[in-house]
Amino acid sequence: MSAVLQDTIERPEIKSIGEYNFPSKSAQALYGDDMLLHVWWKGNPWFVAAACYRVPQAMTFGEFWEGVFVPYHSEDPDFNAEGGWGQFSWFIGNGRASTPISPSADVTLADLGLTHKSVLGFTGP
Amino acid sequence: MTITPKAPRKLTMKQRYSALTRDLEWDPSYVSDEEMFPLTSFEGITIHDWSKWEDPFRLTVDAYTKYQAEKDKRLYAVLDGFAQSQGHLSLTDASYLNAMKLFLQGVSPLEYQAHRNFAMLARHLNGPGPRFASLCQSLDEIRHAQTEIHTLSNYNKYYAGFHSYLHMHDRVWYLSVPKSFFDDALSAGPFEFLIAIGFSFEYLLTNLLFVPFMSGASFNGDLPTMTFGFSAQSDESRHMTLGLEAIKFLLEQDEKNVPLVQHWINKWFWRGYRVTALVAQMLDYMLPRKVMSWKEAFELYFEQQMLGGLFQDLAYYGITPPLHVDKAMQEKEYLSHQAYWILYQFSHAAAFTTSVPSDEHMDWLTEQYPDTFPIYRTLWEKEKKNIAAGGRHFIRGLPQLCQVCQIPMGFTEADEPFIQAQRESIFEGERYNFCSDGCQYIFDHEPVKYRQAWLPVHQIYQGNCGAADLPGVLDWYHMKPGDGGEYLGSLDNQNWKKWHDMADETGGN
Repeated sequence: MSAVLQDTIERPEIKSIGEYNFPSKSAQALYGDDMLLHVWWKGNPWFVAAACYRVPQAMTFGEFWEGVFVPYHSEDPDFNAEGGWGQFSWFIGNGRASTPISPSADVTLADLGLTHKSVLGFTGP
Repeated sequence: MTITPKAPRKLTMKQRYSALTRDLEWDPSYVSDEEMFPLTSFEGITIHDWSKWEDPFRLTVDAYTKYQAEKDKRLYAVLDGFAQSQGHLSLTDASYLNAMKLFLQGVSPLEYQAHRNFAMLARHLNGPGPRFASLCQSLDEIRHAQTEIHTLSNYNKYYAGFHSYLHMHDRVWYLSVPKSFFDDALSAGPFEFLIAIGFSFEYLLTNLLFVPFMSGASFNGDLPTMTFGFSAQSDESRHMTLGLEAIKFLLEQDEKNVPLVQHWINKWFWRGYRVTALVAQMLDYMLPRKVMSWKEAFELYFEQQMLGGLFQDLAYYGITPPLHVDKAMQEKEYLSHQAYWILYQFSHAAAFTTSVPSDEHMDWLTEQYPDTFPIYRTLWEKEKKNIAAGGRHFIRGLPQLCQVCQIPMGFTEADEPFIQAQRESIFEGERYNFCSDGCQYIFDHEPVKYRQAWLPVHQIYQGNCGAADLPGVLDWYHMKPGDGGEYLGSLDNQNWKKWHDMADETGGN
């Protein structure tokens, strides 16, 4: 399953009238074997914000491209599905930073390093 | 033997006020102060002397009800006249009502929530002065909720999008922005609520929130809403005074309060400012007849009045302008363009309509925003071609949301108009996404609170919103055909034309 993420913040002191510790309403466990994935066409303002999908972690990138990515992005008249994913540069976004990745048809989303609520970014063509 | 009763002593206004409010205070004998007021210590605010609260307005209940009744009478007379004369036909255009749909769905329910929380303060603050002030504001707020609903109910007879505003407020994605804002304040302690709503919302941002809607009404022939605005205005100025008194009181009571108050100002400025994105797009895009641009409104009501006035005064207490205010000032150049672009492409899932701005409208935007609008205009030109080719830009999916403000993540970095800002924090093994440094700052200080956010997109994907497909979710929202989508050719647009043609034929007005 998903890799353990390194916390970036610690739990601050809580001021409350009683015990205050409630779980996340978006935790990965609420989605079974799926995860939420954000897909961000960086630099193309036609899509006003990154998209959010629920996808199986074991989905291959090929299936993702065909079944999820292309139908959504075809809404942009300038998007050319025939160009394939090779027309874009892909990365995983971490806030302001990013890590480049090279997807291929058979690799799963999880194996690409994508975890619950990750940002899968791409630029181009 | 008869004794002539002594004539009752006539009290001055000030004495009357004192007799009817502060003199009703007593010290409890069989419970401690702590037991009687259990909510005013956990936030860490220190109050030494509650009697130091200066009552900003000296109203008594009888005087209060008398003024309010007179204002209500005037308002209802206008509402009746407008309804009887088919006044809705003299609006500038049916599309103007999109602003009012947003107001009814997004803002009126907040008035009711404010009523509830001020009623709680009227019970729970230790001093009789602030309790009475809270009581008056609580009554104001419920009156505002009721009069707004009455004012706008007339339009519900003729136009789409007005019918299920309360139901929608609790469920619909864009209404989770104002709803979560207020729920956030309601779930804070009483002092934080005073800073969040009494000060930040009712003082710092009130002119940006309230005035644009009311001026928009007067510029667009909406006499009832304008009259409501006048009726609420004197209350609003009282609320501003209360908000200012609240912050000064906290700052004067103990120096230890200063950093707490400063943090709340930082937090609630940004939280409230993000909600004003809805106002920004309303001013620049939804009003057929423009009042002023968002940029002008921001400069006048925020930069001049608040940064130039208020914060100069607060500097005396060691209070500085809110964190991230510099970002808000940069954003004034593009906030409305980005916010409307969000609503435009998601309006198939909304209870208001949108449309491509006309050329004349775009020229006005270019005049107002010479440095930025030309960039955004390229998007509209692309969309015009798309429409000419038989398309209409509606997104075929759901957007990434900010964990704090809950707005689709369409706001960009300050220096790059087409690069959306992406921020994230990882807390106890889970990632959270934010649209801005301001929202991330808020989360990082209270992650346990904000990880409980009910984000509409995440809830839809968990199957908690009626169905897994869009028509099913819209049904769960109680949206009906004609409520959302493109304005041109919409039910409202067709009816508007039909009614005006009929009026022309019969020689009516």
